[in-house]
Order: sequence, then structure tokens, then C-alpha cells
Amino acid sequence: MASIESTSTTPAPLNRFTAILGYALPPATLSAWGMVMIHTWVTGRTKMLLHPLFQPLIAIAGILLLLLAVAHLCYFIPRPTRHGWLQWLILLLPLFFAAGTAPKTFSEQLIAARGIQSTSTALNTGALDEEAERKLLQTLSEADPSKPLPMDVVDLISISGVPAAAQKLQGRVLHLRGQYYGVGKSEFKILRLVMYCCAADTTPMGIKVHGDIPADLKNMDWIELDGPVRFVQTLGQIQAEVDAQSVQKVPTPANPYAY
Amino acid sequence: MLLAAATTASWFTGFSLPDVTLSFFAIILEGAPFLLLGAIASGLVDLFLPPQLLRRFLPKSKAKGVLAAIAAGFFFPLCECGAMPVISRLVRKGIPTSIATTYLLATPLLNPLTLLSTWLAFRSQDPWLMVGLRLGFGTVVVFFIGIWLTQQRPEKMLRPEVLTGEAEGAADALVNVNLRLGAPLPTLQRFCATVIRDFLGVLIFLVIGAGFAAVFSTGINRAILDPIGQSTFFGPLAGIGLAQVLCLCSTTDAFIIATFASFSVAAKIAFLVAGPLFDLKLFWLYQSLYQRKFVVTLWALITGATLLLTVFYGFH
Repeated sequence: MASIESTSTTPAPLNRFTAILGYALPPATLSAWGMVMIHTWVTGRTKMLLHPLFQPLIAIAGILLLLLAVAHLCYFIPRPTRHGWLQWLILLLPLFFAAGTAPKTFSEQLIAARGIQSTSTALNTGALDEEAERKLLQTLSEADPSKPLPMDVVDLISISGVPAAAQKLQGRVLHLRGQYYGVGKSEFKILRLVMYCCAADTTPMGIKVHGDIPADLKNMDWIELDGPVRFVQTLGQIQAEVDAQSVQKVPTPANPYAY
Repeated sequence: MLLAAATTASWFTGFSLPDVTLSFFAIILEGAPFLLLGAIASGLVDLFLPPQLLRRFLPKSKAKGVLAAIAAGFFFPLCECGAMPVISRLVRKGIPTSIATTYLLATPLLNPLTLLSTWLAFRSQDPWLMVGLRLGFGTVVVFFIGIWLTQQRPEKMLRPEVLTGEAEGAADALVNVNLRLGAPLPTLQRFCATVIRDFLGVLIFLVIGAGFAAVFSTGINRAILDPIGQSTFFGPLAGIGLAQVLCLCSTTDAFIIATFASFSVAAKIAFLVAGPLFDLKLFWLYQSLYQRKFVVTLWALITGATLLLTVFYGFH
């Protein structure tokens, strides 16, 4: 009996090794999560993953996790018992894999799965409010009518929800920037990926464009185009459409999302 | 006819590893800070709320206890991820499992932030109706489940190690260490022990749940749901199914379902009520505290009650 008790209180070499590893794994995991979060924040990658409202939380949580890892080392001592390994693999491997391989933005397959929204009701901000309408009118009056008016795709969709504002913009030549998504022979969509909370809830928002399509364009390439806008009634809702006069491929911007 | 239309296209567009990875990374990075916040709240509850104080404030009647838990869900808001460590702590502090679980269900669905985001998302589509229906139907579903929970024995609901108290103290299956005796600031030591254990203990379920959510939310063909969104029965069913697959936060989900122009009001409300109560991610998170059999029963009750209410609303 005495030897059994002695064996159980004095750990065998394997037990001592696993005890130390078991002791080190929680702070190592906390540090790994903390460092991934801080790295994501420092490199600006959080912009591609989270809405601006949630981005500071990543930095705060990362620092707190590193502090907890230090507290673990200060406050706890190893316990000589056996440990499971699977939970640590689950906590660490997917994190490292995702941190190392996740792309900046989604592929065209996500667009196929989620579809493209073209009306202001699909927007977080909804249709243009009175203040935004006033600003639009001011911009229109100040802009040089001989030059294309720069406009964001999401703003244009927002404007389409207000008939009075849409009427003011009808026929105006616009300059739009977004991603290309082919839907027909001489028809495509210029779209933006709108993030509401995190990248997982990304919603593609797009405007129908008529015109010649450059041969080298692939789905999700970034483009700039100029052309007059018209607002058409489709299934009871007003949607903007553009007749492209020129389309050109441009480099992918640092942040491909709209919020 | 509706089902025939829906089955002409594929439900699943395919598996794209880069999309799944990006989606997974976003979900875990969004959920982990809230989980840590919940673990910190759990640590504070452990330190500063003695069990006898908590029990003294609980109503003696079961129905009043459920109503108090629903009210607490409104006044002490927590998101789905952040609530889990707090609920585990409350249960370990001796709060009745039925009351703690009712709060767990109520807080992400019925809190003011969720209702405000619902109003904002539907402000061009009858916002007060949507907020009223979400609040009303949500309260009815949570109350019904809360009353059912009061009839259940904790040993049928909780994991065995929670019941036996094995998970208490600084050591459990995951954080397998002893407290260093004589360390400075022993209160902080106890606080850190609770936070680390609760955070890592639930984080593993968040990772698994996020993996499933990422696969399904990036691959499911949303256009397939358009033909059935207006159906009195299949519309709400599609709404519930979509919510449980997409695994959205309760403060965001309204913005997503508002874009589904083909969905009826009943289908949208089914989505908004069922989603915060149960989804693929929560299926795993709930298992950090509850037995799997209980979690499956909870899913069936939430789905059934939400479907019943929204189909009834659709008929009238």
C-alpha cells in the first residue's frame, strides 16, 4: 500500500513531463490567442474581419489574455496528473491555420451563395435621410457637370430609396469603384461587400451595369467605371442602373469592405 | 409547388476553404472578446455575490422566478457568447438551473440593444411591428420554456462534473493546476483562476461551433429560400432553419433578415426569435454546461414553440 501511495504522490518521469506540459499549455494558449489578436490589430487586419465598432475589443482582449497568461505563471503550480491533448489541439490548430491562411476577402462562390442585394432596404443605413439628401444636393450643385461625379456604390443604392433624390441624379454621369461580377453577355454588376458585424455576415450589394465588358476581367476584380445613372422600377422597388461608357481594372484597395 | 421550386436548385453551393477560413476567423475573433468579458463577469460574480444573497433575492414561486429571469435578461444584457460563463457560474453558485437557463435564453433576445438594432434594421419596413413581434413572441417562447425548465431535474440537464462540483476550484479537466500557496493578492489569484478556467472551458465550444457555422453559412444557397419565404408554414420553418445555420449575433441578425425581401413577416420573426435562442454555434457552447440530450430537447422546444407562434401569426 505504501508503495502505491508513494507512486501516486511522487510522479513518474512521464507524469512529471505531462504535468509540466499540462501546466504550460493554458498560459501558452492564452498567449497564443492574445498574440494573434494583437497582431491582427497592429497589422490592421481587423478591418477585414470586424465592423469598426468591434475592432478595439480585439486589442483590449489580446492584452488581457497576455496578462492572464502571466497571472497563470505567477499564481499556479503544476499538478501531477495526466492530461488530454485533443482540447489543446482544438484550441490552437484552427486558430493558427485561420490566422495564417484566411484571405482578405471572399471569393465569387460566396456571392453565388448569398446573392447580390440592390435595394436600399438591404442596407444597414437604409434609404438616404434628409440630412444626407441635403448634402447630396449641395454636392451636385458644387460639382462640375462636365466631369463624372465620384460616388460610392453603397451610397448610390441608398439614394435609390428616396425618389426625390434619385430624380435629381437621373442621367448624371457617375464615377463608381467596386468589384466586378458578370451576369450576362453585356451586363454585369459592380458590387461592394458590406459588413454589418463581422466578415461572416458580409452581404454583397451591387448595381446593374450595361455595357461592353473588357476581356481580361474576372469575377471579383476591382474596377472603376464612368457612365450615366438611371433609376428603374423593379418589383415595386427603385433600383439604380448604369450604362457604362468606360470600364477599367484597378488594383485591389487595402480594405475591400464597406460598413 | 413551393417545395418543387425550391428543390430545382442545390441547397449547398459548395465548400470553399478560403471562404470558410475567413468566416471562421471572423467568428472566433468576434466571439472571443465577449467570451472573455463573460468570464470576467463570472469571476466577479464568484468573488462578490455570495450564494445566500443570490437565493434571498429570488422569488419563491416558479412562475415569478421565470419572469424575474426574463426581466433580468432585459436589464442585464449579455450576448450569447458572453452569457455562457456567467450562467455556469450562477449555476455553480446555487441559482436554480431553470432560472439561470431562462436568463441565458432571455438576455441575448430581449435586451434593449437587440430591440434597438431590430428597429434600425426595419425602419423602412414597419419597425414597431417587428420590434413588438420579436419582443412579444420572444417573451412567450422563453416563458414557456422557462416553465418547462422548472419541471426538470438538474441531473437531467447539467453535465455530471458540474453536478458533482468536480469543476470547482482552480483545477478541472482543462486547467489542471494547483493554486500557489502564499501568493500575493489571494483575491486576484482566485479571480484569475475563475476567469482562466471559464474562458478556456467555453472557448473550445466556441471554436467547434464557429467551424460548423463557417461551413454552412458560406455554402448555403440563400436564393433557394426565396420561393418558400412567403409560405405560411414553410416560410417560418425556412426562417428558423436559416437563423440556426447562419449563427449571427442577436444585435446583427435583423440587418441580415431585413434584406430577404421575399420573406413574409412571419418568416422574418421566426428568424429573429429562434436565432438568438439556438443555433449551430450555441449547440456546442451549451454543451459546456448542459448534457447533449438536454441541448437537443431544448432545440426541439425552441424550434417547435417559435414555429407554432409564427405559423399561427401567418394564418391570422
